[in-house]
Parts: sequence; structure tokens; C-alpha cells
Amino acid sequence: MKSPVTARLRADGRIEVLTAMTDMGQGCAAVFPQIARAAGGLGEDDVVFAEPDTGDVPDSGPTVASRTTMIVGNLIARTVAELRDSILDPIVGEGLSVSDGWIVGPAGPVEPFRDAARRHFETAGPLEITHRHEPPEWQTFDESTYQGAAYPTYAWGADVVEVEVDPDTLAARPVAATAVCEVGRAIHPTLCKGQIEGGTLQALGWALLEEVKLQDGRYLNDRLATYIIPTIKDSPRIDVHLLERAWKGGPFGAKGVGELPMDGGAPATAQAVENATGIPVEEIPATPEKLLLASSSPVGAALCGRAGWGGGANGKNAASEKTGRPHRAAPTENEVLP
Amino acid sequence: MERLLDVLREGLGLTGTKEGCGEGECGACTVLIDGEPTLSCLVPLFQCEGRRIETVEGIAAGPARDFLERFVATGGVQCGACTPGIVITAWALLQRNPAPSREEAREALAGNLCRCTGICGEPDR
Ligand code: FES
Ligand code: FES
Repeated sequence: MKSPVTARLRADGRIEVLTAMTDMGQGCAAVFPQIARAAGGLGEDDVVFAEPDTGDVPDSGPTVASRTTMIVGNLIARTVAELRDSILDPIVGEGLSVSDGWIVGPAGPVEPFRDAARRHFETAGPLEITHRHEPPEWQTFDESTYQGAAYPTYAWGADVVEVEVDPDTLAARPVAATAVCEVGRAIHPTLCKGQIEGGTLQALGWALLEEVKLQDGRYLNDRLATYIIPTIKDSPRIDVHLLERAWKGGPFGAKGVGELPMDGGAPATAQAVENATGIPVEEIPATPEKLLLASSSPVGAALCGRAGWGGGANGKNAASEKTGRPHRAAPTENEVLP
Repeated sequence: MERLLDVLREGLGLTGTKEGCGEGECGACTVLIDGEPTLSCLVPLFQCEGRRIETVEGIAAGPARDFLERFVATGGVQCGACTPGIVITAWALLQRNPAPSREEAREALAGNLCRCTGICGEPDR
């Protein structure tokens, strides 16, 4: 996706950055200004971000695939740094750089960058720079076969989940979760950890509660009254550990992180439930009904009006490869208890 | 029948109060009515006569300023859809109980859903 980002010099000497990203939780309203200031050596008040109105901003791509900070952030860093250099170049002087909003020479601070930028606008007129995302040459992806490397790198994570299961009801409750994520570099550690906490909680909900039920192509639970997500009372302690190994393709080493915490939390929870109960969990959410059906309990069979796990009419009664225990095939929608 | 939520958002332009579900499940629309956290999506306007309604704009402009700053600094907000409701609920809790236990805080916030973040750590903050 060759998505562009634009930086332009304004008459007041500020740099305006134009991207299409709307902050709906990616954290870009906080992270983008951080990246722009750090990349340009600019001060708190030297950068402004345009409202992401599609009539004004370039199409810097959608919020997908955890790309916002990694891809768009990287374009911002490049674009702002280049705009700063274009403003700095005509200024006569040896070894000038910009730091904390000041132009600095060998003998110390020379003048605020914004003053020089304003003069540049007055003498040379508007200035605008656009960069597009170019995947590295070695990264090739075939759009027709969907094969190849879709991304130049990935963030990595490992999850540990501890559950308690009520032996009478088979209701499972997460007690503690730990997520260790290698994120390249956390630009805003508080927001980064928050995303991982929230994503982990969502993964726990997916593992134990959240089930999209469909009938004849319609949702049976299309509202929050019937589609149950975790509340604060379902949320265990979640410990997040960030590992930072700067990745040279991302802004200041950052990789994408948004979706990562959804990957490991549910499998870890399923394993924990299996470990606690001995019942193979091959489908999530691991609700009490599904666990009862998958167990060898005659109660499950009786309650469900079925011949039990060993006598499934469809013959899907092979032993679980993993546990060696016989079990029923995962129940279908109709088999789930009311 | 107009809901208090619509009058706040559309009539008065106070868009700080959010509509999440519109059916009393999510807590995003929470406001204070005579100091009590209440779901404004379930309140018909006529029930509000003579009562004191406070929204997140009101408490943010007043005594809750510091509380809000701490809320932001500790990462209690991500997309922000649930945030006004959580802020109102937590603020009301602190008014009647300045030092709630972890359990009390969890109990108070149990009706405020959050899909992003914050909700796990909230009682610590
Ligand atoms: S909008 Fe009122 S509870 Fe969800
Ligand atoms: S911050 Fe997004 S729903 Fe709570």
C-alpha cells in the first residue's frame, strides 16, 4: 500500500502534518506528534496535525494490520525530517542542527526554529513534502496468489493465563494473565501497555464468553445485552512486560502492536482450562455447555438428549490427538444447551 | 419521547456524553442526576424536571480536573467511547467513598463496559 503522508510549512512557521489516520484507539493522536517532534528536533508547539478530513488529507491508508504507528509513523518521521532540512539548508552556517525547537550551531543555540521557518515561508513561499510507503525491495507479495511476505516484520508475544474452574458448573474464570510482547520500541509505553492489557482482556473474553451466534445468516446475539463481553469484574490482574529491540524499519524502532495481544491469550486460556479439567478444549469460547458436552460425563449426554460422547450419530467420536481422551465432535449451534 | 441523552447531545450540543448501546447495557451514557450515576439513554426527559444533571463537561470544568489528569496519565483512556461514563461513575464513587477498596471500585464500575483498555487497571488508579 503506497500510502502517502504530507508535511507542509505554514505561514506562522509551524509544520503541519497531514495523514488520514483518525484516532479511534490506535493512540496516534499522542504518538504521531511525539514522532514528528522527535524526528524534526522540534518543540512542543512547532507541529500541528490536520484534522483527518478526507477532503484535505492524503489517503495514508486504513487502520488495519497494526500498521498505524509502524508504517504511517515512519512516513511522518521521514517527511518531517526532510521538511526541516529543506528549511535549514538555505541558512548559512556550519554544522547547524535542530534540537528542542532551537537551531543549534557549534557555539550553542542560534534562534528558534520557528522564526527561521517563518522567514523561509516569507521569502520562498509555501513548502510541502510528501512521502509514500515503499516496501523494502526484498519484501515481495503476490496479490493474485496471496503468497510472499505481506509485512517486513512482526511483533512477537507470549501469554500465560491462569484459570479457576468450578467443578460443579464448569464455569471458568481467569485469575491472572501475563503478556510478554516484543514491540520493537514502545513510543508511548503507557498507551502501548494499555493496548496490550485491553487486547488481552478481549482475548480472555473470546476464550470464555464471546460467541457470535448465527441462524440463517442472521445474528442471534447482535447487541450488548446478548453478546456478553468481559466487565471489570471479569478482568483478572494482567501483567504486561514490554521487550524492546529496535527494528530499523520502524519509527525509532517501533513495530505494530494493536492486534498482537489477541493472538496468544485465547489459546493460552483454552490450554489452562484443559489443564484444569482434563476436558479437551477444541473450540472457543469454552463455555460450561461446551465443556460439559466435550466431557465424558453422562450428565452432559443426558442434558443434551444425546447418546453421549461415545455414540455420536455422526461418528465423530475419535480420541483427541492431544490428550488421547475420547471426545465428541465440537457441538454445533443447536447442540448448545439453552 | 425524548431521552435525556438526546437532549444533552443534540439539543444542548454536550457531546461528551456518549451513546454506546442505547439500551442500558454499556454505561457510556452515564450522567449524574442529583449526584447519582444514571444511564441517560434510559431516562425520559420529563423525569428530569427540577433535578440537577451533571455531565462529564460539568465535572471536568470543576472539581474533577486533577482526577481527570491522573486518569489520562495512567492510561485509563484509549478510544474514549466509554471514558465519559467511567469518569462520571468513578467520580461519583469517590464522592461518597474517598478511599474505595479494590473490590468496591470494581463493584462500582461493573456496569461500564470498555472494549479497549483501562478497565483492567482502573481500580489501581
Ligand atoms: S448508551 Fe446508555 S447504557 Fe449504553
Ligand atoms: S477506551 Fe475504548 S471502550 Fe473504553
